[in-house]
Amino acid sequence: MAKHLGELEHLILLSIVRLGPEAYGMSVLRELKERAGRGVSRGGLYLVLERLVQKGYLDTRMGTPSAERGGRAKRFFELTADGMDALRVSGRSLMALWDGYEGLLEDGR
Amino acid sequence: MTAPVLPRSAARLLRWAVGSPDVAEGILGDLAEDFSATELRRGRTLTLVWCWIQVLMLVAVFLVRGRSVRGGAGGVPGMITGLLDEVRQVVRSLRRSPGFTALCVVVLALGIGASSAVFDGFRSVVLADLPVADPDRIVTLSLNDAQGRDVLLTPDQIAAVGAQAQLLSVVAGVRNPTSTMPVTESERPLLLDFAFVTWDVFSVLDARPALGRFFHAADGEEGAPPVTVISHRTWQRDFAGAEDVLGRRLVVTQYQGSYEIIGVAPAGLDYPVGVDYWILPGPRRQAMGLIARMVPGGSEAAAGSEFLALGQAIDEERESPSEPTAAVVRSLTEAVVGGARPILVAIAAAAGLLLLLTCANVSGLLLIRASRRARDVTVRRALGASRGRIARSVLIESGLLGLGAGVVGLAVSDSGLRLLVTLLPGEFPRAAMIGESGPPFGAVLLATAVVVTITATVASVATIRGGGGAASPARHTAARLGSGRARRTLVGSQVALAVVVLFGAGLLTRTFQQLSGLPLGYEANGVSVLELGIDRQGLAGPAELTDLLSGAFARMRAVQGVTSVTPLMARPFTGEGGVYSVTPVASGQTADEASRNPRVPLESGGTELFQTLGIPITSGRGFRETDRDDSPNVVVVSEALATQLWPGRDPVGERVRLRLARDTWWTVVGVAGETRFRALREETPTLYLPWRQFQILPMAWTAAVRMDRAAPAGALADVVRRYDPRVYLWRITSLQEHLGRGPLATPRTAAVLVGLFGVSALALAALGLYGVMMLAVQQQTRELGIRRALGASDRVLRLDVLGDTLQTSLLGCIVGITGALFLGQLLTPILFDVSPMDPATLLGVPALILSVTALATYAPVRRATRIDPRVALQEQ
Repeated sequence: MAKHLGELEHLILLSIVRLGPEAYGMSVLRELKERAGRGVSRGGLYLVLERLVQKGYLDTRMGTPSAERGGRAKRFFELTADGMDALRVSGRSLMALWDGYEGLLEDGR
Repeated sequence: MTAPVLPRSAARLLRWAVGSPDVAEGILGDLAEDFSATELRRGRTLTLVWCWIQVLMLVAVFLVRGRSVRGGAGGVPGMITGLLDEVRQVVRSLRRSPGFTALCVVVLALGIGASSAVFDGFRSVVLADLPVADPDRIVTLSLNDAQGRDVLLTPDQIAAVGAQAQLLSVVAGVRNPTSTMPVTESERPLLLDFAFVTWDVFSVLDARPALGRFFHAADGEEGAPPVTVISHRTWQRDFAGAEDVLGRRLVVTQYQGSYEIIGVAPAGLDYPVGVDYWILPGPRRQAMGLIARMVPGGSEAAAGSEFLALGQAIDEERESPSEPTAAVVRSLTEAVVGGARPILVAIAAAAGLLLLLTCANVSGLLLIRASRRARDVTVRRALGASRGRIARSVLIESGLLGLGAGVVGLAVSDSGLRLLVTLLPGEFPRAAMIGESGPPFGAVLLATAVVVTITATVASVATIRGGGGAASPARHTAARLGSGRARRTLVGSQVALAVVVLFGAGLLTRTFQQLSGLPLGYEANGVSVLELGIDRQGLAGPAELTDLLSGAFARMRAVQGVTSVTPLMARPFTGEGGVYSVTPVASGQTADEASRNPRVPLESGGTELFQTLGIPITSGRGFRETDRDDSPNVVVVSEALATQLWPGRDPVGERVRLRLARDTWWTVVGVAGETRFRALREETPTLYLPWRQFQILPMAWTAAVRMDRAAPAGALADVVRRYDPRVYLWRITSLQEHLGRGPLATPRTAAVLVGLFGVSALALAALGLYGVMMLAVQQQTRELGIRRALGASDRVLRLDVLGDTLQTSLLGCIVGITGALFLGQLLTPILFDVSPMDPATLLGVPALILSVTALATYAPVRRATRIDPRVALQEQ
């Protein structure tokens, strides 16, 4: 049974889903910053990513080394079935609470 | 965009902290991506600092919170959590006093930055190997006669020595020093220094070309197409490091000789010093010195005596008339770096002392802070914290400060290096090697390690001794006195170190003053030195050349503002031997007397020679329009030479024999004042000949122009350009510039750098003293209050505190003077007219320090006399 996700975990998993096959550390960081407006510290991001891997929510695979990364490979992330479940559960509960209050999103200021 | 290169040590650190290689690879790759972007925006140094900060933060995150990730379910060992807790505590307390933290970091960073920059420069110039194989086996050899004059050999003789020598495996010839010859490269005028070498010189060095190839035996043969190898510096400076430099040509203007560039030497191969390109001697045989590779296991002494024996055996007609009596053997490193070494040692010593001083200073600051927390420590002790734990927090504190200072110090060091390169005179050997290998990480790391070790050790030892046993009030007082002693030792040593550095700065400044205050014997203001290139193709002979030049000089003379013009032998400050030197023989001297005559430089000039340079004619006359090649030979001698050749007699009318192209007699028509024109440190007795009677065919024609108005430089270039297309004005520099760039440059650099260190040292020592005395007064508030209550006057209290300070500084001064005398010995080779135990400096420096320290105690003294007994007694 999937546990509920923390907020940052939630955001990160969602970013990985959005990025698809191009999800790795830098792109997730960028996605969080540009789309979600969340400036996450590098340390925080990697820590959460490793935690998610350990929980079995994320799978990883190494790409091929490239020159622009100083000869280092990218470490790509992908949601496991468990990860997808967890994201669904968290997403649903969030949606459920939002239900009927979407108006608040329009102009909260 | 180039591939990003993260500092290797940072990558290793991160890998260690993260544990999993894959995770680390991903993170490092991400960092590398950002690295290039950041580098484009902010430049290399800042990016490196940024990168280190990122890595350190990641390391902290992974160590503190990622252990569970890394170590799985096993949990974190208690010791590490404890340590991390303490680190967090210390960080918090440092953040609470940002002023103190910033002060420590800045002081340490300056110390680390300055010393590592200088150390790195020192390493590049002196310690870094020359780019040749087995440099220890390479020696330069020269023969001297009984008067210490060089006896040079021809390429054939050098080859003969090479064939016979048992102890030398490869032998080549080098003409040292270099000469200048105007050249053009695709119509672009360049003024480059060249050296004649025999083709096998690079085999002796066993160096690898940075590009292309070195000379082959065939290149040296008669009729082979002329080729040249250029230095790395020239390649970078004049050809922007272009790959297609090979095959381009250097064309020597005056005889349109065209040399194809076949190779580029490796960086740092600066032999002979200052060389821009190497060429092989033409059909005119060049007299040369030797460079050779010794057989493995050979000693310099043995190679030298073998060489002397071989040299004496060569009895064919020699370039120099005298018999060799001694061989001089120098290692290649010595030959390249030699003269620059003492100055670098001095600067490095000063930087090292400054580093120690910053350590003492920050240790002192940490101690002050620790004693401010003495009560806190006592409470913690009472609650059961061990001495070790308290010491550990001091250790952590100094460690963190040191690390922070290291990161800032890296930036300081990098800019320091750049400053060093600009401060060093252009002719400084291997200056181009400085900063070549990027920011000085190694040196900064080393300096940081030194700082952390020293401050941590001193601070923790003193804390344990001082604050440790504070359980009872009696022991508390005793402990405080103990730590007071520690602080006083620290302040005393700062004063001592400051004395040493300031003393060095004083000596170097006095040297610079002495040198720049020397009577030159000529008037350098208003004189410009012109270097002319002449295309001699199509000129029938020397007479036509002389006419061509005379015409050019006449046009220059007519320019508004020009008051006199003269041709010169060469630009000034070419060295003590001058450009061309001879041993004159006076008429009537016996062979024995003549053998004691000095070898003196020759100068040649026009009718306005003495007027242009402002050299006084003390007797007789200068040159006239009538002193031509078809009239009797005339010569002007300098006073010192006149006294030596004709003691007690009027030299005018005497005759002197000079061995030039052939033996010729010259009549003395005048006596000129002594000058420092070829070398600054010594007056050189000189012979002056009229240029129409004596010319060597110079590589670059030089002329001096005196002007009574500033800057008709453009006008001069204009007249020359319009006069004849075969004459070019290559370069025009003021005589003052020659003076500043040449013999004064190195002393000035040394004085400025060591002076900067000296002032910083003084400021730090004063700061340290101020802190300690302030604290002392604060801690004795109660005691001072009681004394005031009992009627002690302000004056007594003031003297008390002041006396305390002076005692500490005086002790420091005494210790410092001992060290200063040692530094003075080290500096002796570069001092000029200043004793290494110069009494004025020896007394002046302590006086300065004592007055500054007295000033630094102004505030503490004031505070001591403002203590209100009632408040003081209520305290605590």
